[in-house]
Amino acid sequence: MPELARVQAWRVARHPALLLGLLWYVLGVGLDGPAAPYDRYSMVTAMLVFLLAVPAYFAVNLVATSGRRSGVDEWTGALPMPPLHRTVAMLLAAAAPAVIAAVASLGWLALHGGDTGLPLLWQHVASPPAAILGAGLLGVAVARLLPWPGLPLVAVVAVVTANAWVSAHWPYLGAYVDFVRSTGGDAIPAREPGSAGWHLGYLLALCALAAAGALLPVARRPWLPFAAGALAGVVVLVACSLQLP
Amino acid sequence: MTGVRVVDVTKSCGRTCALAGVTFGAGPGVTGLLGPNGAGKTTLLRMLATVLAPDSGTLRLLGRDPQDTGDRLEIRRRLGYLPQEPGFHRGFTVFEFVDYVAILKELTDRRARHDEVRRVIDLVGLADVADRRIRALSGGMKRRVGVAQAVLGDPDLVVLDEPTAGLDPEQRLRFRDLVSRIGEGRSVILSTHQTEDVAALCPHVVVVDGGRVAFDGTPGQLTSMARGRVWLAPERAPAARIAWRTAEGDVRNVGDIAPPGAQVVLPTLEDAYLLLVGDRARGVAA
Repeated sequence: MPELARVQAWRVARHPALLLGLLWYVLGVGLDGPAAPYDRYSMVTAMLVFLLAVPAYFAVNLVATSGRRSGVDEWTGALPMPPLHRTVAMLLAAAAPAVIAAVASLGWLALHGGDTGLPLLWQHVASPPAAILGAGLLGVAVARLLPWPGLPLVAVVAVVTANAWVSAHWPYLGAYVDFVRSTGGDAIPAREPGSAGWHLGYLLALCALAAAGALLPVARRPWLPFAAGALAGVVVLVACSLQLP
Repeated sequence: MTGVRVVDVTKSCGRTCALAGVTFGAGPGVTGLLGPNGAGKTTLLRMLATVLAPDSGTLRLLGRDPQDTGDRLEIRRRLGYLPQEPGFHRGFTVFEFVDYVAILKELTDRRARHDEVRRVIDLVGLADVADRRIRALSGGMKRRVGVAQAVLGDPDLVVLDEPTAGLDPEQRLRFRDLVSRIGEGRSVILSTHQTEDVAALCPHVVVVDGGRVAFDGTPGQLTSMARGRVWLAPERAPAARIAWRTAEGDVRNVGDIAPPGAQVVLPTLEDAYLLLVGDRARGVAA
């Protein structure tokens, strides 16, 4: 299984959708980097999520469904590795974009001497990779739960639309990667900071929920991922409330 | 131990009855599976590959029951399978794809696995293109990639569904050499439309027609069924089921009985096959 995870992670890492997202990120931030304090802070707390999460979702989903689309799954089902192990390997591989995001974040910080212009906690730095991990895991879950052409696109449009709607109605719940009061040059109105730790917990619980969903159709005992998913759902609700200021 | 034992197996696909009580056995060596299009060969092979389960009847593979979860896993560990139209991850190189299948075959030690991948790629004559992407390969090369993955890990039972489709004459001869080597000491089930391949390779042949076994025996026994029923004449004979003009100018007639005074010739396996499956084989013979 670790070997399969390694192969799948390499496929995800070099997938054109993800490479396009990375190119977008590089072009988006510019070669010189942002000058305003808030924009510098945003480089490691928000930009990666905005620019890489959707490409990561599609890259992972397309790798996870490539066997079905190419007809490979029709006969590799006769190979000994069980579907559960194949899905776990794919979930591990879904971490590849998150690792790339973490390296990009830390690389940016290293290049700029850790100066983001605003107070920064380690939870701030960890949140974008966690969100991108969630996007990748959602890509696997959609591949396993909705194995029909076109539905991965419908799913991501639904998530983005729901997020935009929430942002419009409850600003604290949407775009909640800004944990500190922003200063001059801020594109988003100043807000009271919430709990960075609970926000990270909220994102990781969402990751667990997506992983449980992916395992549901292939588990030998489906009640296990179902129970884990229910527990993750409760943690999502609790963490979602506690992250608010 | 018998490689394959099939007893009164049935399988329906929707309203179509694909297999209607198939019974045969296959031990070590190459067993040829002949039959016209739609005879049920691929359905049968998918069962032998544990991809499909029978509706009824008994199936034993390598002495185990594929319906049992534990047995099925053990069978899959000792099975090699090349489907009729294998899909590939086209962006993979030959090496990457065979390695990917090796991982799914649970060959965990990376160094040993890579050695095995190189061995089978070399075995099918693709060592020179091991780093080439599958999308850039010809149809014949892709078939050989399929064969390479099927023989990974020295399986005890190898199921090959029309492996010679799309191969040029030289590749087919190389393939015969390869399959005869694979068949030494293990069971190989070879489905094909090429009666020459069966005559050249298989000490045992099973003909499937209309979801049933129409013949089960040696190629010699099958050929002998056409003795006295193949003759040469200047023109097509009305009694012939199938007739064609040969390169020498005579018409080779294959029918139920040669007319008196006809120049009866020794039949081939193809003649016997044509007689056995009748009109349904004409598309194959053409």
